Amino acid sequence: MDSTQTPRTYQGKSSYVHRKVAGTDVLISIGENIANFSGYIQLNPSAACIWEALREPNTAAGLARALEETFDIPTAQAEADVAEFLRELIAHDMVLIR
Amino acid sequence: MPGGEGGHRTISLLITGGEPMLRPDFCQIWEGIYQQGFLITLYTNATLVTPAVMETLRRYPPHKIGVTIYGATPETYGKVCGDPSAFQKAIDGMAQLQSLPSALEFRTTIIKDNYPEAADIERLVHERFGAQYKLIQTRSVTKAVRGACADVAACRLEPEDNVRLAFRRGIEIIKDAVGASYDERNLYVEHIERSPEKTYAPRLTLFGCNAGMRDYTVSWDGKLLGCQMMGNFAVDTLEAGFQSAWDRFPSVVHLPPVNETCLACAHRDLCNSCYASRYAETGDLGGRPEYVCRDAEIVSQLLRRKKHEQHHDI
Repeated sequence: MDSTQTPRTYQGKSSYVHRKVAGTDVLISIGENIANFSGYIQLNPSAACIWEALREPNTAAGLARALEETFDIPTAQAEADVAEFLRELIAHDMVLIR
Repeated sequence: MPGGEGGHRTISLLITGGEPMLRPDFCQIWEGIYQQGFLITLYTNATLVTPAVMETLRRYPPHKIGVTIYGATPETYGKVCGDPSAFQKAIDGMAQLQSLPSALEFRTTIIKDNYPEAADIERLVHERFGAQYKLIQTRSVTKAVRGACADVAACRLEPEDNVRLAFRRGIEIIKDAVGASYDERNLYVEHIERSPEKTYAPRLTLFGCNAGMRDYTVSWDGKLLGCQMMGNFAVDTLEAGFQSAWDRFPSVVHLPPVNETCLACAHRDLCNSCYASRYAETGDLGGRPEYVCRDAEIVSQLLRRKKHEQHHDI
Protein backbone atom coordinates (compact mmCIF):
# COMPACT_ATOMS: atom_id res chain seq x y z
CA MET A 1 0.00 0.00 0.00
CA ASP A 2 1.16 3.53 -0.75
CA SER A 3 2.11 4.99 2.68
CA THR A 4 0.70 8.41 1.74
CA GLN A 5 -2.76 6.96 1.09
CA THR A 6 -5.39 7.06 3.82
CA PRO A 7 -6.06 3.46 4.83
CA ARG A 8 -9.41 2.04 3.83
CA THR A 9 -12.06 1.83 6.46
CA TYR A 10 -14.73 -0.84 6.78
CA GLN A 11 -18.06 -0.71 8.53
CA GLY A 12 -20.63 -3.45 9.00
CA LYS A 13 -23.85 -2.75 7.10
CA SER A 14 -26.89 -1.94 9.19
CA SER A 15 -28.81 -4.63 7.32
CA TYR A 16 -27.59 -7.15 9.90
CA VAL A 17 -28.42 -7.24 13.59
CA HIS A 18 -25.80 -8.87 15.82
CA ARG A 19 -27.33 -10.88 18.65
CA LYS A 20 -26.48 -13.63 21.00
CA VAL A 21 -28.92 -16.52 20.79
CA ALA A 22 -28.48 -19.02 23.63
CA GLY A 23 -24.81 -18.10 23.91
CA THR A 24 -24.11 -18.18 20.17
CA ASP A 25 -23.35 -15.04 18.17
CA VAL A 26 -25.56 -14.61 15.14
CA LEU A 27 -26.13 -11.97 12.48
CA ILE A 28 -29.79 -11.66 11.48
CA SER A 29 -30.46 -10.27 8.03
CA ILE A 30 -33.07 -7.49 8.14
CA GLY A 31 -34.63 -4.77 6.00
CA GLU A 32 -34.33 -4.69 2.21
CA ASN A 33 -31.42 -7.08 2.56
CA ILE A 34 -33.78 -10.02 3.03
CA ALA A 35 -34.40 -9.97 -0.72
CA ASN A 36 -30.80 -11.20 -1.11
CA PHE A 37 -30.42 -13.22 2.04
CA SER A 38 -33.27 -14.04 4.38
CA GLY A 39 -31.76 -15.85 7.31
CA TYR A 40 -29.02 -15.72 9.88
CA ILE A 41 -25.29 -16.35 10.02
CA GLN A 42 -23.60 -17.97 12.97
CA LEU A 43 -20.35 -16.28 14.03
CA ASN A 44 -17.42 -17.83 15.84
CA PRO A 45 -15.93 -15.74 18.69
CA SER A 46 -13.25 -14.14 16.45
CA ALA A 47 -15.79 -13.18 13.81
CA ALA A 48 -18.11 -11.78 16.49
CA CYS A 49 -15.24 -9.67 17.86
CA ILE A 50 -14.42 -8.30 14.40
CA TRP A 51 -18.09 -7.58 13.64
CA GLU A 52 -18.38 -5.61 16.89
CA ALA A 53 -15.28 -3.63 15.89
CA LEU A 54 -17.02 -2.92 12.59
CA ARG A 55 -19.85 -1.02 14.31
CA GLU A 56 -17.87 2.16 13.56
CA PRO A 57 -15.67 2.65 10.47
CA ASN A 58 -12.43 0.82 11.19
CA THR A 59 -9.24 -0.05 9.33
CA ALA A 60 -7.93 -3.57 8.86
CA ALA A 61 -5.14 -2.71 11.28
CA GLY A 62 -7.66 -1.45 13.85
CA LEU A 63 -9.69 -4.63 13.50
CA ALA A 64 -6.59 -6.75 13.93
CA ARG A 65 -5.69 -4.81 17.08
CA ALA A 66 -9.14 -5.50 18.53
CA LEU A 67 -8.73 -9.20 17.82
CA GLU A 68 -5.21 -9.27 19.19
CA GLU A 69 -6.26 -7.59 22.43
CA THR A 70 -9.35 -9.71 22.95
CA PHE A 71 -7.78 -13.09 22.29
CA ASP A 72 -4.12 -12.37 23.11
CA ILE A 73 -2.88 -13.76 19.81
CA PRO A 74 0.18 -12.81 17.70
CA THR A 75 -0.24 -9.76 15.44
CA ALA A 76 0.43 -11.77 12.27
CA GLN A 77 -2.35 -14.24 13.12
CA ALA A 78 -4.79 -11.43 13.95
CA GLU A 79 -4.03 -9.71 10.63
CA ALA A 80 -4.48 -12.95 8.70
CA ASP A 81 -7.80 -13.68 10.46
CA VAL A 82 -9.08 -10.16 9.76
CA ALA A 83 -8.03 -10.33 6.11
CA GLU A 84 -9.84 -13.65 5.69
CA PHE A 85 -13.04 -12.44 7.37
CA LEU A 86 -13.04 -9.16 5.46
CA ARG A 87 -12.75 -11.09 2.20
CA GLU A 88 -15.89 -13.01 3.16
CA LEU A 89 -17.75 -9.87 4.19
CA ILE A 90 -16.83 -8.03 1.00
CA ALA A 91 -17.76 -11.02 -1.17
CA HIS A 92 -21.21 -11.06 0.46
CA ASP A 93 -21.66 -7.29 0.39
CA MET A 94 -21.87 -7.03 4.16
CA VAL A 95 -19.56 -4.04 4.72
CA LEU A 96 -19.32 -0.44 3.60
CA ILE A 97 -15.86 0.41 2.30
CA ARG A 98 -14.55 3.96 2.32
CA MET B 1 -38.23 -11.33 25.30
CA PRO B 2 -36.10 -14.16 26.67
CA GLY B 3 -32.81 -12.84 28.02
CA GLY B 4 -30.23 -14.07 30.47
CA GLU B 5 -26.50 -14.56 30.30
CA GLY B 6 -26.53 -16.35 26.96
CA GLY B 7 -28.60 -13.57 25.42
CA HIS B 8 -32.05 -13.94 23.95
CA ARG B 9 -32.88 -17.53 23.08
CA THR B 10 -35.57 -16.85 20.52
CA ILE B 11 -34.57 -16.57 16.90
CA SER B 12 -37.88 -17.01 15.05
CA LEU B 13 -41.08 -15.13 15.82
CA LEU B 14 -44.50 -15.53 14.29
CA ILE B 15 -46.79 -12.55 14.67
CA THR B 16 -50.31 -13.82 14.28
CA GLY B 17 -53.82 -13.51 15.66
CA GLY B 18 -56.68 -13.42 15.03
CA GLU B 19 -55.61 -10.58 12.85
CA PRO B 20 -52.56 -8.66 14.12
CA MET B 21 -53.36 -5.54 12.07
CA LEU B 22 -56.55 -5.03 14.07
CA ARG B 23 -54.37 -3.52 16.77
CA PRO B 24 -54.16 0.26 16.38
CA ASP B 25 -50.58 0.06 17.70
CA PHE B 26 -49.55 -2.65 15.22
CA CYS B 27 -46.89 -0.44 13.56
CA GLN B 28 -45.34 0.54 16.88
CA ILE B 29 -45.20 -3.04 18.13
CA TRP B 30 -43.81 -4.26 14.81
CA GLU B 31 -41.04 -1.69 14.73
CA GLY B 32 -40.04 -2.41 18.33
CA ILE B 33 -39.89 -6.15 17.83
CA TYR B 34 -38.17 -5.92 14.46
CA GLN B 35 -35.26 -3.87 15.71
CA GLN B 36 -34.39 -6.55 18.26
CA GLY B 37 -33.36 -8.84 15.40
CA PHE B 38 -35.57 -11.87 14.83
CA LEU B 39 -36.51 -13.92 11.82
CA ILE B 40 -40.07 -12.68 11.68
CA THR B 41 -43.10 -14.19 10.01
CA LEU B 42 -46.37 -12.27 9.76
CA TYR B 43 -49.71 -14.03 9.35
CA THR B 44 -52.49 -11.77 8.14
CA ASN B 45 -55.73 -11.85 6.16
CA ALA B 46 -54.43 -8.76 4.28
CA THR B 47 -57.70 -6.81 4.56
CA LEU B 48 -56.24 -4.06 6.76
CA VAL B 49 -53.10 -3.15 4.81
CA THR B 50 -53.17 0.63 5.13
CA PRO B 51 -50.55 3.06 3.76
CA ALA B 52 -49.15 3.39 7.32
CA VAL B 53 -48.81 -0.38 7.61
CA MET B 54 -47.08 -0.57 4.24
CA GLU B 55 -44.69 2.22 5.19
CA THR B 56 -43.73 0.31 8.34
CA LEU B 57 -43.40 -3.02 6.54
CA ARG B 58 -41.32 -1.44 3.77
CA ARG B 59 -38.84 -0.21 6.36
CA TYR B 60 -39.02 -3.43 8.35
CA PRO B 61 -40.08 -6.20 5.98
CA PRO B 62 -41.01 -9.56 7.51
CA HIS B 63 -38.80 -12.45 6.47
CA LYS B 64 -41.96 -14.30 5.55
CA ILE B 65 -45.62 -13.38 5.14
CA GLY B 66 -48.43 -15.89 5.28
CA VAL B 67 -51.66 -14.49 3.87
CA THR B 68 -54.90 -16.32 4.42
CA ILE B 69 -57.38 -16.42 1.57
CA TYR B 70 -60.89 -17.59 2.38
CA GLY B 71 -62.55 -17.76 -1.01
CA ALA B 72 -62.29 -16.96 -4.71
CA THR B 73 -65.30 -14.62 -4.85
CA PRO B 74 -66.90 -11.82 -2.80
CA GLU B 75 -69.90 -14.11 -2.24
CA THR B 76 -67.79 -16.73 -0.53
CA TYR B 77 -66.01 -14.11 1.56
CA GLY B 78 -69.48 -12.97 2.57
CA LYS B 79 -70.36 -16.48 3.71
CA VAL B 80 -67.07 -17.26 5.44
CA CYS B 81 -66.13 -13.86 6.89
CA GLY B 82 -69.47 -12.07 6.92
CA ASP B 83 -68.33 -9.31 4.55
CA PRO B 84 -68.27 -9.67 0.74
CA SER B 85 -66.18 -6.49 0.41
CA ALA B 86 -63.37 -8.20 2.35
CA PHE B 87 -62.57 -10.17 -0.82
CA GLN B 88 -61.37 -7.13 -2.79
CA LYS B 89 -59.68 -5.65 0.27
CA ALA B 90 -57.79 -8.91 0.75
CA ILE B 91 -56.74 -9.14 -2.91
CA ASP B 92 -55.54 -5.50 -2.88
CA GLY B 93 -53.73 -6.04 0.42
CA MET B 94 -52.04 -9.19 -0.87
CA ALA B 95 -50.88 -7.31 -3.99
CA GLN B 96 -49.28 -4.67 -1.78
CA LEU B 97 -47.65 -7.25 0.47
CA GLN B 98 -46.30 -8.99 -2.63
CA SER B 99 -44.26 -5.86 -3.41
CA LEU B 100 -42.17 -6.41 -0.26
CA PRO B 101 -38.94 -8.42 -0.38
CA SER B 102 -40.50 -10.94 2.01
CA ALA B 103 -41.14 -14.56 1.10
CA LEU B 104 -44.86 -14.82 0.49
CA GLU B 105 -47.00 -17.84 1.26
CA PHE B 106 -50.72 -18.29 0.68
CA ARG B 107 -52.79 -20.20 3.19
CA THR B 108 -56.38 -21.27 3.35
CA THR B 109 -58.78 -23.08 5.61
CA ILE B 110 -61.45 -25.04 3.82
CA ILE B 111 -64.81 -25.28 5.56
CA LYS B 112 -68.30 -26.09 4.27
CA ASP B 113 -68.88 -22.58 2.93
CA ASN B 114 -65.79 -22.46 0.70
CA TYR B 115 -65.43 -26.19 -0.02
CA PRO B 116 -66.91 -25.84 -3.54
CA GLU B 117 -64.26 -23.17 -4.27
CA ALA B 118 -61.24 -25.09 -2.96
CA ALA B 119 -59.75 -25.51 -6.45
CA ASP B 120 -60.76 -21.97 -7.50
CA ILE B 121 -58.87 -20.46 -4.57
CA GLU B 122 -55.66 -22.08 -5.74
CA ARG B 123 -56.35 -21.04 -9.33
CA LEU B 124 -56.93 -17.46 -8.20
CA VAL B 125 -53.61 -17.42 -6.33
CA HIS B 126 -51.76 -18.70 -9.38
CA GLU B 127 -53.49 -16.40 -11.88
CA ARG B 128 -53.43 -13.25 -9.77
CA PHE B 129 -50.12 -13.61 -7.96
CA GLY B 130 -48.07 -16.18 -9.86
CA ALA B 131 -47.81 -19.92 -10.44
CA GLN B 132 -44.77 -20.13 -8.17
CA TYR B 133 -46.88 -19.71 -5.05
CA LYS B 134 -48.07 -22.71 -3.15
CA LEU B 135 -51.36 -22.72 -1.33
CA ILE B 136 -51.10 -24.25 2.09
CA GLN B 137 -54.31 -25.81 3.30
CA THR B 138 -54.98 -26.25 6.99
CA ARG B 139 -55.23 -29.98 7.58
CA SER B 140 -58.10 -29.88 10.06
CA VAL B 141 -60.06 -27.36 12.07
CA THR B 142 -60.55 -27.81 15.80
CA LYS B 143 -63.23 -26.18 17.88
CA ALA B 144 -62.74 -22.61 19.10
CA VAL B 145 -60.42 -22.12 22.05
CA ARG B 146 -59.40 -19.39 24.51
CA GLY B 147 -62.71 -17.56 24.43
CA ALA B 148 -63.17 -17.50 20.64
CA CYS B 149 -66.81 -17.76 19.68
CA ALA B 150 -67.12 -19.52 16.31
CA ASP B 151 -69.50 -22.44 15.87
CA VAL B 152 -66.76 -24.58 14.39
CA ALA B 153 -68.67 -27.85 14.56
CA ALA B 154 -71.36 -26.41 12.27
CA CYS B 155 -68.88 -24.90 9.78
CA ARG B 156 -66.09 -27.40 9.38
CA LEU B 157 -66.00 -30.27 6.93
CA GLU B 158 -66.93 -33.77 7.93
CA PRO B 159 -63.78 -35.86 8.47
CA GLU B 160 -64.49 -37.83 5.28
CA ASP B 161 -64.43 -34.63 3.16
CA ASN B 162 -61.47 -33.32 5.08
CA VAL B 163 -59.37 -36.42 4.40
CA ARG B 164 -60.54 -36.56 0.79
CA LEU B 165 -59.43 -32.96 0.33
CA ALA B 166 -56.02 -33.61 1.87
CA PHE B 167 -55.45 -36.71 -0.25
CA ARG B 168 -56.61 -34.95 -3.41
CA ARG B 169 -54.15 -32.16 -2.74
CA GLY B 170 -51.38 -34.69 -2.21
CA ILE B 171 -52.30 -36.37 -5.48
CA GLU B 172 -52.30 -33.01 -7.32
CA ILE B 173 -48.80 -32.32 -6.01
CA ILE B 174 -47.61 -35.72 -7.24
CA LYS B 175 -49.34 -35.12 -10.58
CA ASP B 176 -47.52 -31.79 -11.02
CA ALA B 177 -44.20 -33.36 -10.09
CA VAL B 178 -44.59 -36.34 -12.44
CA GLY B 179 -45.85 -34.31 -15.39
CA ALA B 180 -47.24 -35.69 -18.66
CA SER B 181 -46.54 -39.33 -17.87
CA TYR B 182 -48.77 -39.22 -14.79
CA ASP B 183 -51.32 -42.02 -14.69
CA GLU B 184 -53.51 -42.26 -11.63
CA ARG B 185 -53.96 -45.97 -12.15
CA ASN B 186 -50.32 -46.43 -11.18
CA LEU B 187 -50.70 -44.45 -8.01
CA TYR B 188 -51.02 -46.11 -4.66
CA VAL B 189 -50.27 -45.11 -1.11
CA GLU B 190 -48.13 -47.21 1.14
CA HIS B 191 -47.76 -46.69 4.83
CA ILE B 192 -44.41 -47.78 6.19
CA GLU B 193 -45.12 -49.35 9.55
CA ARG B 194 -42.65 -48.53 12.30
CA SER B 195 -42.11 -50.52 15.43
CA PRO B 196 -44.05 -49.30 18.49
CA GLU B 197 -40.66 -48.79 20.21
CA LYS B 198 -39.70 -46.25 17.55
CA THR B 199 -43.13 -44.66 17.20
CA TYR B 200 -43.67 -44.19 20.91
CA ALA B 201 -40.05 -43.76 21.99
CA PRO B 202 -39.83 -41.65 25.17
CA ARG B 203 -38.89 -38.02 24.64
CA LEU B 204 -38.30 -35.04 26.84
CA THR B 205 -41.50 -33.08 26.43
CA LEU B 206 -44.27 -31.32 28.33
CA PHE B 207 -47.20 -31.94 26.00
CA GLY B 208 -45.85 -34.56 23.59
CA CYS B 209 -44.60 -31.93 21.14
CA ASN B 210 -42.28 -28.93 21.20
CA ALA B 211 -44.78 -26.68 23.00
CA GLY B 212 -43.28 -25.24 26.14
CA MET B 213 -39.95 -26.86 25.28
CA ARG B 214 -38.65 -24.90 22.30
CA ASP B 215 -41.87 -23.26 21.15
CA TYR B 216 -44.09 -20.90 23.05
CA THR B 217 -46.83 -18.35 22.55
CA VAL B 218 -47.17 -14.93 24.14
CA SER B 219 -50.81 -13.85 24.04
CA TRP B 220 -52.05 -10.30 23.44
CA ASP B 221 -52.25 -9.75 27.22
CA GLY B 222 -48.71 -10.89 27.94
CA LYS B 223 -49.41 -14.46 29.02
CA LEU B 224 -46.84 -17.10 28.19
CA LEU B 225 -48.53 -20.26 26.89
CA GLY B 226 -46.94 -23.48 25.71
CA CYS B 227 -49.25 -23.64 22.70
CA GLN B 228 -51.58 -21.01 21.28
CA MET B 229 -54.45 -23.47 21.43
CA MET B 230 -54.16 -24.01 25.16
CA GLY B 231 -54.84 -21.27 27.66
CA ASN B 232 -55.07 -23.77 30.52
CA PHE B 233 -51.50 -23.24 31.64
CA ALA B 234 -50.12 -19.72 31.57
CA VAL B 235 -47.57 -17.52 33.28
CA ASP B 236 -47.68 -13.74 33.19
CA THR B 237 -44.63 -12.30 31.41
CA LEU B 238 -45.55 -8.78 32.48
CA GLU B 239 -45.04 -9.53 36.19
CA ALA B 240 -41.38 -10.52 36.27
CA GLY B 241 -40.26 -10.57 32.66
CA PHE B 242 -40.05 -13.25 30.04
CA GLN B 243 -37.13 -15.24 31.40
CA SER B 244 -38.76 -15.69 34.79
CA ALA B 245 -42.03 -16.72 33.15
CA TRP B 246 -40.23 -19.16 30.85
CA ASP B 247 -38.37 -20.73 33.77
CA ARG B 248 -41.60 -21.07 35.76
CA PHE B 249 -43.76 -22.36 32.94
CA PRO B 250 -43.10 -26.14 33.30
CA SER B 251 -44.05 -26.01 36.98
CA VAL B 252 -47.58 -24.81 36.18
CA VAL B 253 -48.31 -27.60 33.70
CA HIS B 254 -50.33 -30.41 35.24
CA LEU B 255 -51.68 -32.95 32.79
CA PRO B 256 -53.98 -35.91 33.35
CA PRO B 257 -52.99 -39.27 31.92
CA VAL B 258 -54.08 -39.91 28.33
CA ASN B 259 -57.34 -41.86 28.29
CA GLU B 260 -57.15 -45.62 27.91
CA THR B 261 -59.19 -45.68 24.69
CA CYS B 262 -56.66 -43.46 22.89
CA LEU B 263 -53.70 -45.41 24.27
CA ALA B 264 -55.14 -48.69 23.03
CA CYS B 265 -56.33 -47.33 19.66
CA ALA B 266 -55.14 -49.14 16.52
CA HIS B 267 -54.90 -45.82 14.67
CA ARG B 268 -52.90 -44.04 17.35
CA ASP B 269 -49.75 -43.82 15.22
CA LEU B 270 -51.68 -41.89 12.53
CA CYS B 271 -53.74 -39.76 14.88
CA ASN B 272 -53.26 -36.01 15.17
CA SER B 273 -54.86 -35.70 18.58
CA CYS B 274 -52.92 -34.02 21.33
CA TYR B 275 -53.73 -32.39 24.66
CA ALA B 276 -54.72 -29.20 22.83
CA SER B 277 -57.10 -30.88 20.39
CA ARG B 278 -58.55 -33.10 23.13
CA TYR B 279 -59.25 -30.02 25.21
CA ALA B 280 -60.63 -28.01 22.28
CA GLU B 281 -62.91 -30.84 21.19
CA THR B 282 -64.09 -32.18 24.53
CA GLY B 283 -63.29 -29.55 27.17
CA ASP B 284 -61.20 -32.21 28.89
CA LEU B 285 -57.43 -32.55 28.49
CA GLY B 286 -57.77 -36.30 28.74
CA GLY B 287 -60.93 -36.56 26.63
CA ARG B 288 -61.48 -38.55 23.45
CA PRO B 289 -61.90 -36.13 20.50
CA GLU B 290 -64.42 -37.94 18.35
CA TYR B 291 -63.88 -35.72 15.29
CA VAL B 292 -60.12 -36.38 15.33
CA CYS B 293 -60.76 -40.10 15.92
CA ARG B 294 -62.92 -40.35 12.81
CA ASP B 295 -60.27 -38.51 10.78
CA ALA B 296 -57.50 -40.85 12.01
CA GLU B 297 -59.61 -43.91 11.31
CA ILE B 298 -60.28 -42.87 7.70
CA VAL B 299 -56.60 -42.03 7.11
CA SER B 300 -55.59 -45.34 8.62
CA GLN B 301 -58.05 -47.28 6.44
CA LEU B 302 -56.83 -45.52 3.30
CA LEU B 303 -53.15 -45.93 4.05
CA ARG B 304 -53.38 -49.52 5.16
CA ARG B 305 -55.40 -50.81 2.23
CA LYS B 306 -53.77 -53.24 -0.10
CA LYS B 307 -52.62 -51.86 -3.42
CA HIS B 308 -55.42 -53.50 -5.47
CA GLU B 309 -58.09 -52.07 -3.14
CA GLN B 310 -57.05 -48.47 -3.48
CA HIS B 311 -58.38 -47.32 -6.86
CA HIS B 312 -61.18 -44.78 -6.87
CA ASP B 313 -61.20 -44.47 -3.09
CA ILE B 314 -60.25 -40.86 -2.93
